[in-house]
Amino acid sequence: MVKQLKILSFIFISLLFVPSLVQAQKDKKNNTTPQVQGITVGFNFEGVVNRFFDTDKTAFSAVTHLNLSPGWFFRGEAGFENLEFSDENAEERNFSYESNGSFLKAGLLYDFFSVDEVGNNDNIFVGLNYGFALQEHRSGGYTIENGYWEDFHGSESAYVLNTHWLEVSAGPRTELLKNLYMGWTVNLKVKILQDNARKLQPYSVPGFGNGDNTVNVGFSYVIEYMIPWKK
Amino acid sequence: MRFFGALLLTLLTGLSLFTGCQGEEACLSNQHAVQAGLYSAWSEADKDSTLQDLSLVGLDRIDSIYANVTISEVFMPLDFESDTSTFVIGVSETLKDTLSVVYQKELDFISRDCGYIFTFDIDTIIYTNAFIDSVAVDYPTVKYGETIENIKLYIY
Repeated sequence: MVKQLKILSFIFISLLFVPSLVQAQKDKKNNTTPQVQGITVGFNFEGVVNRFFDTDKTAFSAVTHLNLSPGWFFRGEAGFENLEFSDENAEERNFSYESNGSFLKAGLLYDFFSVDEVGNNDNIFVGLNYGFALQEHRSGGYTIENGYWEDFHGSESAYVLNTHWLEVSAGPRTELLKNLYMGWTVNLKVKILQDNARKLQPYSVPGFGNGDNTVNVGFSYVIEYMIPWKK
Repeated sequence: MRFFGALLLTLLTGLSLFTGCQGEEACLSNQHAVQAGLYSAWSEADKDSTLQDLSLVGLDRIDSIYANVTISEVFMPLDFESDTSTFVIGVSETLKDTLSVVYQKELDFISRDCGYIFTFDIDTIIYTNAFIDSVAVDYPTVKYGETIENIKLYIY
């Protein structure tokens, strides 16, 4: 019931965008000012926010947007994620775990909010990205409880694995101050290939999220600065 | 800037929605036991049988798995450190059989919340014949999350 209420409130608040969108489309007919072109350099706060919910994980990523042509953007992201179970979590899950890895994402975004109103550089993006993560992980020790015979204790030494995924993203971006942008996207990520995961599935894949899942949903929260080169 | 307020509100709502949907998986316990059904050896068709005062103990173990219970199905936990688990199954102080389960085992990673488990493949069953007539391996795999009867114990 609580989840349903949350979903309803999310849909309701999202509808607040509609009047802005309609107004923007009206404005578009009356103005022909081209959008500012440039490259952005920004920071994705997803890792910082997630740390409030999982203190075992440290993640950082940098984001860039490149305006290719009116309405079309290149999006790139690079980051890393380090994870080590706390003693408490290792005991609860019956295994210890460490992972260090990096990821790259690249894709194209389409801005269907390409308003020509003077000074309005807001966007609503929909895009497709390809993601690749390279990580080394290990289990320093695990216990399989038997309950009757002796428990089994083992460990898994460190090895490297790769994960590839496709990501559909959508969300708005607004210009807070001149050339300073803030935006977020909802990201639907689908794992397409992962090698070497049989011995030890990754607890978390850098940039992808929950290592058990084939499909993950994530948020990104980006603040970025644009270096304009053309108006 | 025109939809900044809506953007922020949606972000916060989305965040709470997203974090609210994150849940931990419930892990199953005792997933390494051979499930054995008791059947009458006198019936031509498989017919469930119930044993009274059944006791089951691992060979050279002090603790019992079952002690003087009335039961028609037994669960025999397998030893992780060996390829054979031997049990003494009895219905009285004098009427006892020894039953050894020979198996191969393979380490599997279940999930990030539940960690590792062994999956077993039963090779053969060796047994004595005090009150056990015969044993049939019906489903040789003992696997996490499955509740399928592995062997049939036909009793006199």
